[in-house]
Amino acid sequence: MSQDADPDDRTPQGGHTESDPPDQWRRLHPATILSDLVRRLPQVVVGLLLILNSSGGNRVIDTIQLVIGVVAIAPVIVRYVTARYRVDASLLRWREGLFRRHTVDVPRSRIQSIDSRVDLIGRAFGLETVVVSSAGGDSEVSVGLVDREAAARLRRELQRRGTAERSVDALPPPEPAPQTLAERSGSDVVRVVLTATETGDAVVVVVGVWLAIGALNVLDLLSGAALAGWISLATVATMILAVTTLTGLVSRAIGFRSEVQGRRVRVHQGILGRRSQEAPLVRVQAMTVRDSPVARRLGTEAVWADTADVSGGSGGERLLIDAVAPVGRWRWWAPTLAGTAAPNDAELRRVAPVSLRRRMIAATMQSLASVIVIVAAAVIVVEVNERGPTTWMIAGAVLCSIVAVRFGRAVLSYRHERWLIDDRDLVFVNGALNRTRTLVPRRRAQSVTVSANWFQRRLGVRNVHVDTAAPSISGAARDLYVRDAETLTDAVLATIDQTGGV
Amino acid sequence: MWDDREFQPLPAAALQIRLIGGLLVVVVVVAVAVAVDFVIRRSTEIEPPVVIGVIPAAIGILLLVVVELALWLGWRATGWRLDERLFAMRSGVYTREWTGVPRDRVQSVLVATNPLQRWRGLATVTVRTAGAHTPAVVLNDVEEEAAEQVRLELAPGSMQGSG
Repeated sequence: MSQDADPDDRTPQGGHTESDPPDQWRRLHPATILSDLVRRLPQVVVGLLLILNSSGGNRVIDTIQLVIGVVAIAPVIVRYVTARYRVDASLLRWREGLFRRHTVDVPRSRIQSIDSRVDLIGRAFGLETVVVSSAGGDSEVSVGLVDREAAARLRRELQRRGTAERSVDALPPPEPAPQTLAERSGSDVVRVVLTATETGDAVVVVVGVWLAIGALNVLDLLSGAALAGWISLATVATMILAVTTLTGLVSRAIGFRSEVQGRRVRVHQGILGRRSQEAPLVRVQAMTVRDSPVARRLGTEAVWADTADVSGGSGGERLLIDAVAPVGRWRWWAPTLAGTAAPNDAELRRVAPVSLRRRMIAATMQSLASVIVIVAAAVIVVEVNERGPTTWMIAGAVLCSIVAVRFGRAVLSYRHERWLIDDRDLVFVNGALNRTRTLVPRRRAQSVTVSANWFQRRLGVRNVHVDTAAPSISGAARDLYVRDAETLTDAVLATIDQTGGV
Repeated sequence: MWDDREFQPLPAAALQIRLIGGLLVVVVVVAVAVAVDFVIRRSTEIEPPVVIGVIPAAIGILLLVVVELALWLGWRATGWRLDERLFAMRSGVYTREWTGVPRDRVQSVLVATNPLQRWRGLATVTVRTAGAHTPAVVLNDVEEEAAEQVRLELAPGSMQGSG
């Protein structure tokens, strides 16, 4: 990032064409104002109200209202008027701001990903926002709105790794045709929703639908009092959350497409607002495959490509390749996405048998803590409400459920946990009901941490955590025998390549 | 792994400043406890069976023993190693940890000191990687010369670090 003012300020409006000089500052499309108005709607509404209310009679208060109103609305206009971008031989340059001019220079060689976002305004006018991310903190540039042609050209220019020697005058070579990995449609909605591997999503959707049905029943009664009681703020909030979650899940089916084009992986999704995520294949750190009990019944898995954290702490990208991929399809994609062949399941190794003992003891201790908390809560409730039998029945049921879940999870997670290291890859399988398989090419490891608490040291086992540049994955194996942990650690550290990067 | 004899322990001066730091924390806690004790006595007008300050002092002594013991154990458990292949660090008392960072994965090295460390000629070394979950390995209270040696050897592009 740097502060500067460029003397060259020729600014064609609404993007540009292939014939534009490549080093010219380019402006955003005027519809950017409309998009920003929608994006900052609450702020704009407050600003307008203040301006319209600024003729009350008290001059000082009116002036203050007017100033605050203008300040609230101004950013929308200022961004369009002042925002410029251009692509130099080695830099993507972005500047905006009136009083404080903000200039971001992103070296083209450091660009990690180029995404495309289309909001409702963009769809209406045929425009999009190109989001360029580079490694390092605070290094995301959103160029938009620009027209589709300008966006395509910007992407093509940036996809070539720029160097000082290269000129952008020459048009980039034509890209190969995209190779579709997965394409979903409306007919997959039910499967996607049913196999959602995030338990929280499923709970929110079920509760939201249940609340909605309850609210509708009450509406039938046409009783104002009952309506007020039912449709409380929490109910409405849960229903909104459920709709949002459901929309998120549905967008993994309707209009979803993942593809590989050249050396980049790209995912298109969204129903009203379309979004295209893109990352260079070289930045894919690992692959994650998840399934749930329902997904196993239906013979599907969700597959992600985990990329390096490119946006300075805001979280790395996890590109969903397919929410309902047929079981084992990820093996076909592994050579393309992760640059490695997936190891055979028969080679996977179990964790040390003493691990079950450790997990059972941990579950026992956690259950005892739950017993203390729930019994204490029940005693207080009984003291206050004097409903002894009912309270103790509920407390007993809750306690039994918690204990059953804890022990069940301990046993299942032990049964399903696996790990493997071969010549090229590391594989970790974790989870009790929802199972996650993480495939990490060994060359992607950044560091290795071995840990053991007092109890694990007594049992002679260790946890091994292999860190990569992708924040979305956790490559960890729990309760390996010391010998296995040392073998794994030495093997990972011995084969890290000499590139020094991510 | 963490019992490796090649690990370099932290210097005695590191224990010294940690114990001093622990003592300062306990003194502050006891001072607050005395103030609370005093306010409670004044506001409730109930005369407790013990003299003012006795309970906070007892808590302070107990706390001092626990804190200083924990600091001593933490100091004893911490160590570091730098060889031609990797930088490794061990730490932790109840849960012991060993973290290895290959030289080729080091992104940057930061050496920092606070006044207490400068007084005893110590420094903190932060070895940063591109890892998402372990973005940095922080080695507190190592000798300044050793910190400088680690920095010189691990800094990307350094002559020593290329080996």
